[in-house]
Amino acid sequence: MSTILIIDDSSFQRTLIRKTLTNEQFTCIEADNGRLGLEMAERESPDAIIVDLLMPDLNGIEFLQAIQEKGITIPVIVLTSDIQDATRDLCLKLGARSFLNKPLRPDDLIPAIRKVLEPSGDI
Amino acid sequence: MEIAPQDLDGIRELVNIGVGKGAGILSEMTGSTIELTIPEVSIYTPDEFGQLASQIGTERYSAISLDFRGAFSGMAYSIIPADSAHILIDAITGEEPSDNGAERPFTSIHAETLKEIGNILINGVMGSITNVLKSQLTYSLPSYCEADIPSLIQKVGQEHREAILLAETHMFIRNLNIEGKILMIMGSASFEILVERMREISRDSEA
Repeated sequence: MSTILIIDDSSFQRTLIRKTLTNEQFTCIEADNGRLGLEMAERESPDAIIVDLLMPDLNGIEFLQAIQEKGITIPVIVLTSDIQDATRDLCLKLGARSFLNKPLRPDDLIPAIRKVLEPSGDI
Repeated sequence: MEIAPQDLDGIRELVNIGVGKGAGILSEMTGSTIELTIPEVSIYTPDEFGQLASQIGTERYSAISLDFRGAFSGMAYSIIPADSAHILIDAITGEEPSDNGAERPFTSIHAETLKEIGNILINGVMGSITNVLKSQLTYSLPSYCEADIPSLIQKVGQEHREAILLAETHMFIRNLNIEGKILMIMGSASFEILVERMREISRDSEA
């Protein structure tokens, strides 16, 4: 089953996401900041990444820039409280495959994950 | 800059849109109906603001704050009475309240949960406003504290205190019987940018 890397500084959010994903038989690994998330993305090669934006130690925007610079092609889904159109546009421009807003909605997240796990799957 | 009554009315409407979005989010998270009041928007000098703070009272609140910067800058608070914090957290996490209710210790996990709730709510409010204005803000990490409103106001940075725009609205979470507030505080420079941007949008919509 696919492994999903969850990067969010809030353990409350990570727990919600993990429960949602494990209910669907996904395996989860977690990081509580962008820098650790980047290290885990390189080391563990997950099948997809869910990343928050507002985080200490490499925020989500910086994380997207970093994986683009490193040529990492793991699909990334942004899951954030930030509902600004400009933020959404920036994330998609930086290579995010999907942009979802908190609060977490399993009916949005699970299809988004399945979609990006398809070959060349875009939302 | 001369501030006309229609400018304040425009800001009130803008805040109303943002709070409407925030209330929708909070309703989804709590499964409760949220009742809103019409936002009150006022401009104060620092002296007036200090007097206001001293008149507000000393009820303790659980407060989540975010600094915002970009097109304009300031500080936003999402606050609820401190003794309601457990009720809100239980409603959102689905935990069963224990018998001693408010007497439970408030742990760092509870604070973090509340911080994330406030973060989502404030982002809903501020993000709606910037989307209307076709602008963008960046946010600080959310902070949590327990304090009365005068103490919260004292935390507002000096840069926002030359003349102060205070937008305040009340949200009543009916099923949980919790009344919260959203406070948005901006200094005069940011306030003028906000007004100018609103006037531009208004002119564009008339063109």
